[in-house]
Amino acid sequence: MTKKKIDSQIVICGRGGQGVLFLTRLIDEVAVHQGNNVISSETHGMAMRGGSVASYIRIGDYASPLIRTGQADIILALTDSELQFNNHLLKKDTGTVFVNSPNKKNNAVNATRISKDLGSVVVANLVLLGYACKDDTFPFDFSTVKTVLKKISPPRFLDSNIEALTAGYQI
Amino acid sequence: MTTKSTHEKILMGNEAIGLGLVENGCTVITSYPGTPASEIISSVARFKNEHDLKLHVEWSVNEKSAYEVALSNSYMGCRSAVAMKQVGLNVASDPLMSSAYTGIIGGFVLVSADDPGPHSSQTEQDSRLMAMLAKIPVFDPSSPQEAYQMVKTAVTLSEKNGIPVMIRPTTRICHARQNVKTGTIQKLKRKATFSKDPQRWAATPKYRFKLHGELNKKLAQISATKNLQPERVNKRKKAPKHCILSSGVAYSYVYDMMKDAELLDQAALYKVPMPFPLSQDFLQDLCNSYEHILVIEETYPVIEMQLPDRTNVQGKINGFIPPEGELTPDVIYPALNTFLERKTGKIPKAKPGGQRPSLCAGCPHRASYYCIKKALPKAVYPGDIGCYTLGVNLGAVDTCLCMGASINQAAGFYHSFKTSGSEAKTVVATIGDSTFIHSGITALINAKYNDARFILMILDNSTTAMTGNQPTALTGVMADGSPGNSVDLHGILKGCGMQFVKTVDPFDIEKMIATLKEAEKFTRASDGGIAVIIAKRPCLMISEKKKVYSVSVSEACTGCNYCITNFECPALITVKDRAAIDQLSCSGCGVCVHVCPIKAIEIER
Ligand code: SF4
Ligand code: SF4
Repeated sequence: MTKKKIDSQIVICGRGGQGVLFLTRLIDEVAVHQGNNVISSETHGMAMRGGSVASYIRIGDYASPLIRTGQADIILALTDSELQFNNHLLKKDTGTVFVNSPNKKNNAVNATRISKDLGSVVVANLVLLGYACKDDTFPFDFSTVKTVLKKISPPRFLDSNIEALTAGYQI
Repeated sequence: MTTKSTHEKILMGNEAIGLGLVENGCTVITSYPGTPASEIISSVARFKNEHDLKLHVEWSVNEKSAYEVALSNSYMGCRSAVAMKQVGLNVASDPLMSSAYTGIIGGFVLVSADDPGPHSSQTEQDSRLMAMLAKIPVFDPSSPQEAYQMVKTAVTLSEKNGIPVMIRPTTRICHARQNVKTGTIQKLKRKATFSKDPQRWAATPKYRFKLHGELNKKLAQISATKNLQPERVNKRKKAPKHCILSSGVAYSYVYDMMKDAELLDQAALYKVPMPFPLSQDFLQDLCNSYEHILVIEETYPVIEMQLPDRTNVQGKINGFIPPEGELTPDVIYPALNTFLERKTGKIPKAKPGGQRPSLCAGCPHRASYYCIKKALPKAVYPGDIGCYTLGVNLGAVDTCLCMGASINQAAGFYHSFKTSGSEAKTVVATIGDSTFIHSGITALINAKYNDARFILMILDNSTTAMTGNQPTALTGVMADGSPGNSVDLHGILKGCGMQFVKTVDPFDIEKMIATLKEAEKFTRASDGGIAVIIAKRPCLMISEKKKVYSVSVSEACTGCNYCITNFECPALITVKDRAAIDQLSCSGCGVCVHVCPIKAIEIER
């Protein structure tokens, strides 16, 4: 285990069924794997039926699970159109957004297409995460994320999960 | 759940509570599924199987059953727990009120999870007020870690004082995940014994008076226990003029904000672990010591109400804190600043909106609702609680009151039409299988007995879908996965005197429409009555994911958008001004083929 002190507030947004929860759990685990405290918040219940969902992850010395307006360091948007409902959370000058989008813009990657090419729509979340790992502003490095992903993936999804994360990283 | 070291795990609040219950030796743990409480029991079942524990964990058919089953184990001297969502506690309120009087022998913990917002509930009611009404102590955890620790405090307090104790987490605690320091599982090896004591367990009103007196004594003793009263978190020498009292997740927001803005020396911050019963001496002292007091709590002003002198108190009662809605950090921040006489800078507004939830692509409920609308467009549609409440998007759900209400409301609408003499519309009630078992059966008996007439469609998808696909009494699998007994729906309906009972696959659109029309005739025939249709097809989440049909939209599509607006299948999308099918999310149910008015949606051969 490589220790790395991190202070970071991350928002993951998308639609119910897109794997926001899995991504949240994965990042929680990576944070703890590196010796940090973490507290995060998830959406369950009715919204999971295709509605807007968002998770908040706070790594470091935090007591509460929600992120206040203008405090998020990172937003990972699994659906481009969900970004508009979460953008206000981002830190004004230093925040970074990574978005799954077919449109050409800053830090956008067509994770859905890459995921489809890999033969599954459900791994777009990991493609986006892999892509984010390339960036200096993202608090985790690819190899640590990969190690933890290996640990927490159910055996039958292990290969496709790793493949998706790697595909995102290699863009 | 995965482990970092042997004693630290990342746990969801609900898992932390489940682990607490298991570690503290609870041997009967029951619940009825409901967001945000559902994962408590599933985690208990998992811990039971992982550690091969001797405990009974059950999905009961409703919260009242759950409460009474668990309570009885505590009557026998063993530790027990029951978990539910806040509106579930309404259902279990009868045994709650009474058991506060009888008390218990083995520790008994009631977990009632509130949903400020509300995110997934019909009310924002505050279970702490229910605890107050019942006169039992209630704990309000401010994090998953604290929820875990409070289970121990609650079990011990319950057992020591012979009183049921409530833990009231909110959605943001239930569904928060945190690295939690955990302990070890206690195996208490207690023998269940029933000591007969009719003046207690079967008390008549005369003895109830005595029990009430005893309950009051227990409460007085508990409120005098020092370490359960509010504690000042930021102890410092000079006493400031401002004081903040807060509990639950709201406390954690306040703490984080004050720390972040370096305000911890500007006000005395008190965390309230047990919002009821509070010590009046303590509160009086507080009122005397500070010039300004702010109370921040969810969702009703429970702590605030108990303050003996509210002249200098800001909170929900005077509207300083919004009296409805979730207290998110963005809501609290400006109030906190105003209280501490600070300015709040400009805060960018969140864009309102977002995608509303809808039934899954290929959900059998959508087909059922489509048929109801098609066959009986003028009917009144009382609905119920579950995934199928989303039938409201399709215009086939007119009411949603509470669990089981669809059937009683159908009867009420019928009697109302009949007595007022206005044109009697057909009434079609829809209810899920799990909800029917929960509280639909007695409603149906009532309707039959009092000669109501309506169509009842039981949407039987063989699961409790909305809350995460828990098994039901009709499927017979128990909470820990072991086989129980399944009850017979047809037998129940027969016993309730139903003469018209038809089972139809909702994907068989023509047959379903024909059956609905036939059912309407039956409700209006002189020798007719209530017509029951069982729409039977498993929820997609528990059925094999195999496409039955391959569906596509032909060139004939005019782009009228009829299917997208009226049928709302998430797999129906617009591409270049025409309807199209997103093949990756389409489940191949083929129902949309019947929806397009010009038959532009086709089944590919
Ligand atoms: S989970 Fe099941 S019941 Fe709920 S919307 Fe999806 S298919 Fe329908
Ligand atoms: S066949 Fe039609 S109704 Fe069924 S899932 Fe596909 S698009 Fe939706």
